[in-house]
Amino acid sequence: MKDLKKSIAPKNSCVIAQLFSKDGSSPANLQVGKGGLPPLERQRRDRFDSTFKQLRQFHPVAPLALERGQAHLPNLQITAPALEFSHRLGSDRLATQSKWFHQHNQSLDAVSEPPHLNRRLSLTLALLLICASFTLISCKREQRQFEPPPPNPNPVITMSELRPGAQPEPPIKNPAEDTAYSLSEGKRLYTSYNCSGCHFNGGGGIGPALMDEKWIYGSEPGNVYATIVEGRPNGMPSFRHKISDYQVWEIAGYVRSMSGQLGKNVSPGRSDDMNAHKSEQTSEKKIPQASGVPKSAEQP
Amino acid sequence: MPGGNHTQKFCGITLLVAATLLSGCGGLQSAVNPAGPQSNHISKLWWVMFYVSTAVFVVVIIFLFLALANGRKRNALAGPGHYAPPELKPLPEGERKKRNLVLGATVLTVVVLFVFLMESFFVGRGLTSDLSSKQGVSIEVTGHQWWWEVRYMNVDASSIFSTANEIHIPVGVPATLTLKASDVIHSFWVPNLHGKKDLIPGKLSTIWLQADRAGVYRGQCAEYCGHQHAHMALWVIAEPAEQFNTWLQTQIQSAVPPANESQKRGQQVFLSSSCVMCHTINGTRAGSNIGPNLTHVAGRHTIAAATLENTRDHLSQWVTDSQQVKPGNRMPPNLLSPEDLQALLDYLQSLK
Repeated sequence: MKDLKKSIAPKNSCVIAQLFSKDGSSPANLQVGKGGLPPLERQRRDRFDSTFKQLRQFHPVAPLALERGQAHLPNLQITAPALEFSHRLGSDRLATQSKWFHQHNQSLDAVSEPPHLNRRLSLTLALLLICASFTLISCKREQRQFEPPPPNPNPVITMSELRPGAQPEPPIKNPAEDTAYSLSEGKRLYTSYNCSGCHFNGGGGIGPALMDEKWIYGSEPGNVYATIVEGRPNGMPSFRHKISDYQVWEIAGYVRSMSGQLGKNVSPGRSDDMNAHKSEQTSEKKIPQASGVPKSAEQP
Repeated sequence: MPGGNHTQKFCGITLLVAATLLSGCGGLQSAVNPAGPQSNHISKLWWVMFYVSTAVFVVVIIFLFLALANGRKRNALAGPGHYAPPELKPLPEGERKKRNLVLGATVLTVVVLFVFLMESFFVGRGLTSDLSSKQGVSIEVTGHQWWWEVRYMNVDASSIFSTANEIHIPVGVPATLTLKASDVIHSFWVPNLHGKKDLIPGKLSTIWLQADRAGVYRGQCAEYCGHQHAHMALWVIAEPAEQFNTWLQTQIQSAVPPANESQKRGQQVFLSSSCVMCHTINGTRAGSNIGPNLTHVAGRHTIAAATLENTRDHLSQWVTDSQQVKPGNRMPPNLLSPEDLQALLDYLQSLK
């Protein structure tokens, strides 16, 4: 210890760092005055701090360079005695101060440039790009057709499943049965136009049930359309000219979905209120059966 | 001259921004142009928050620039192309100063937030207090996708009537609004008179509001409610008591019977087409409550929830193809022959 004190803390002043201008000439010296660097055994917090303060004013990176034992910086040279002093000092104070740099595995070269900026930047950008592409993908949704197609002037409507001849006509396709949106619209209209006033929520009351397997006037889309447009004996009114053509198809689609005739992928949304039966998504398909003339329609 | 060009551009942008900001002042739909006791409370709260927040913002920016300047000074010392690391060995006196500064700022923030909290609390009390003591007009407002049903309540059942998208109130008399929703959550917001209040399906909420000066105030649905949420507006018309009573007496009446052949035919068209499935005209067989009540539709200033001015052209456009105006709305397109359409428009325009 005494050797060290002699060697690095001379009685006279000591140059501990040299600052070079850009062209490398005319170095400016940082000198520590009388007494030089503080003796090791007498290192007191304030003395030590004042030295470092001096160093920092001289050059902002100088204290750090001293701690890390690096003598060469772009325009700074730490002198040998100062370096040795710093090295020998090796106290826990220095250790804790430079711990942060050890933890981050950074050398002074790395300090000169922001750490891994480019890699981090590109990683962040890639992450953002992935997020954006996921968002864009999820933006794609079922297109809604708000402008209804013009009504078919001569719809082929059959009043019953029974028909003469051997060749049955191909069933009419209901355009509204393709999307869940139009079936949900049908569900809304079913209540709005007071279908539920007689058929209730499909269980029937004043009118026949719609959620069972019995179909008095046929289960094809065209049959249901005809029932709504033409009306049926004993109570079912005609809604000709009262309900727009596309809305009739939507209601007809919903009526068929009540007994599970349509796939679950196009089922309308669940009801907001409590429902007497299972939701349309979960109701199982009922095999349609012609049930003939209902009792109420029989001739007396 | 590039310099002049720049200056011109800068002036233009400044003007544009100023115009945009100023267009919010003194508007028909503006919370800083209060016309009633509640909106007065709210705008006072807004100005207090505005001035305090502006001061906080300015102080924060000043400190930010000080910190930036400090960092630049250090970087300049580190030499070109290098950046100075944070000080690893902070000086104790500097640390103490910084700690006191942060502590002071924290305390100040808590105090400011507490003042805001108390102010907000008292404004909230002012808005909702003594609701039961308000004896004035009683109105029931129901939010539908995408229009407002307005029902004037009365102890005399024959004086109850329903209109749409237009609320008339007498000046200086409190109006109690009962808010309901038929499908999804909406929010009733007439900023000149009151703050926002949600309309929740299955729940009744009540507010009261009062207009201290006659005028027309715009309201808007303030809770996203579906495709045409943006086109779900309403007008509040505050008028002197005698004018309001005249309006009230008119509204209570049934619809005017058709006066000429064209209007008679129009009524027949209305009753025999899809109109009758959704709309009510008091005094006729039409009595469905799905769409707006049309008993006095010609007396309203706008149609389609304050989207279109109530003119013959707009009415015709709306009846024939409303999906062009408000895509996704509940009104189906109607294919009517030109004669039927003109007769229907004659009839609708006679319903004063």
